[in-house]
Amino acid sequence: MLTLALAKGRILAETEEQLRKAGFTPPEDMLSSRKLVYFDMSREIRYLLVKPSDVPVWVEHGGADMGIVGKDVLHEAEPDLYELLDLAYGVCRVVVAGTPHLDLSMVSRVATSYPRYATDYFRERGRQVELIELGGSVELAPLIGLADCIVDLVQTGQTLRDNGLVALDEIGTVSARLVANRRSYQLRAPEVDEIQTALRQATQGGTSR
Amino acid sequence: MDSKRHMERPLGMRDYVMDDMAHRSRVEQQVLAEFAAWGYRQLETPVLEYTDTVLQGIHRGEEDQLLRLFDSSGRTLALRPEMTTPVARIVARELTGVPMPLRLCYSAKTYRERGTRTQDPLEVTQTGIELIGEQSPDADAEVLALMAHVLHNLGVHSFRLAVGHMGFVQAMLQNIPPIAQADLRNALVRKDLVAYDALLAGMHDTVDRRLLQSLQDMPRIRGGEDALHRAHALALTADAHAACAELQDLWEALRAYGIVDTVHVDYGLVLDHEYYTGIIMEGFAEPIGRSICSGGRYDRLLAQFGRPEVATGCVLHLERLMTVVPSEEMGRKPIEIYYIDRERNAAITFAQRLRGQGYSVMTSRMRNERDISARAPARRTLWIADTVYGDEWLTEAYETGEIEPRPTGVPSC
Repeated sequence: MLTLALAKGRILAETEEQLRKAGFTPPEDMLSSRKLVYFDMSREIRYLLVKPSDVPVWVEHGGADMGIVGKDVLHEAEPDLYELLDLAYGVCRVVVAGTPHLDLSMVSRVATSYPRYATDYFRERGRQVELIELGGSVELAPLIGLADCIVDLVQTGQTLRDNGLVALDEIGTVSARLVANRRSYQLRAPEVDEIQTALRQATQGGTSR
Repeated sequence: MDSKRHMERPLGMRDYVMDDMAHRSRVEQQVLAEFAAWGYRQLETPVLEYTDTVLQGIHRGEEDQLLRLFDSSGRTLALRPEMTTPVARIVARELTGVPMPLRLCYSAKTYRERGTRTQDPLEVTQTGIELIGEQSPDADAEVLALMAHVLHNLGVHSFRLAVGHMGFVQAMLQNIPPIAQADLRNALVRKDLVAYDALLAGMHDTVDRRLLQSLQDMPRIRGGEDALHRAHALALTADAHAACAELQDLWEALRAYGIVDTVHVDYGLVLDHEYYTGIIMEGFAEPIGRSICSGGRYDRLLAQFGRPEVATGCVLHLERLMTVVPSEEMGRKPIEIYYIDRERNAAITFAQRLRGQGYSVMTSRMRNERDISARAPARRTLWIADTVYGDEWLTEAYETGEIEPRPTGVPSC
């Protein structure tokens, strides 16, 4: 029985779709029920639904053999696990954003949920900035004067626009990734490889995005 | 003011008491006994080393993990972060008269600052071996086999030793430009195969397609004998073929030890490349997700101490090992003897006799017989009166697991 930790929230619906495409049968009610554990009908797989930032914790400690979570979470957590596959969905951009005519070279305070992305971006430009770490509604920070700009995840850009902000620079793109626990990678190699192969084929087979 | 601090232990540290400690001790002793049976001699080194010494064996990126202090002359000392470097120091300076090969082992606490990984402990016991002065794959096989035997004999249910070869990876990356080589290697160390593939894809204009394909396949090759063959097919240079031959040789030696079922080769396994020079290994066991042992060949370290010698070894993480080893029922339970003042001599004499026979015995003087009877029902107790109990009684009590409430001749309370 292999355990797969899935990130709840933003990418769960596409995850479920991709799992089906790969030939798995996650239960019908996985998206609607508030249950946290599900069993795949056709294979020996158990799904755990967890908070995105917790996926690397479950996988690193071996509570889950594998997981599906966004690269943004992995980048910040720097967990000790295998990153096996770019699943090519849940694509977002990591951007530096602020009010339209902000001069980034004068920025001293940055609000973000992504301290590592933010610090690295400014450090590469020779700047040490003060970070304000926020868990959500980060767009508020420059509006209320808490920070000069933000580093945040952007999908359509609607939230930025609705709050009068623009993307001033792009740091990178992130997408959903398949990860595996190090022990499971060695001790449960056949099952890990089977899942990896199935998802790889589904990803290569039909991404029209 | 934090008035309770003195009642806590520092973060990242653990105490071991009672059954936990008994388990720890048993596991440690069993591992060391197994090492001794294979000819490894135990050593101990100071917990503090000069920082200069310690820096010989750690990666630049790990420097921040050192816990440092100053001695009275202002030199910087560090708590040892691992044992292989102190062992190298000793082999080069204290053991110059001892002929090669040298087999040494230890079980020692080591210290590293945790940085962002706050769940990791600061203090880790490394229980390991170093085999110095033997070049052949048989030496690497011995190290692997000893680890496998240790785990098996401890009753670890399900484990696997993953084996890689730094020489193979180096050889495969040989014809890639240096900066790209470092990037690819780092991706493998971080186990980020997505970044690895992306880097390779970025080189399709500058690097031969066949090499790129081989490199892409390389970290995906893992398994038993079949993996050895697949890697051989990938090898493009003489050095890569040589590494494959070494692994083949290793495999035959592992077969002689009867442990091939517990080992598999993993061509994507990469550890610190400045330190490890050949065959490397990592061990995993159910139910924990982190490695329980790691090691490999490190032929360049001893030269830094002025005594160039090849070396290989492996270290178990004792605390993690403790969680995968099933705990054992305590054999003989301790006996408690309660007595009042006038029975002291008999009680003590009896206790000493039992101890001489290998029992674990505790004695307690009580104020009166009522106090003794208050304890008796809850514990194994022997009433001592005018008669000292012989061995038949004791054996029977042990076998039936019963507490003898009151011997003949002792008044009830």
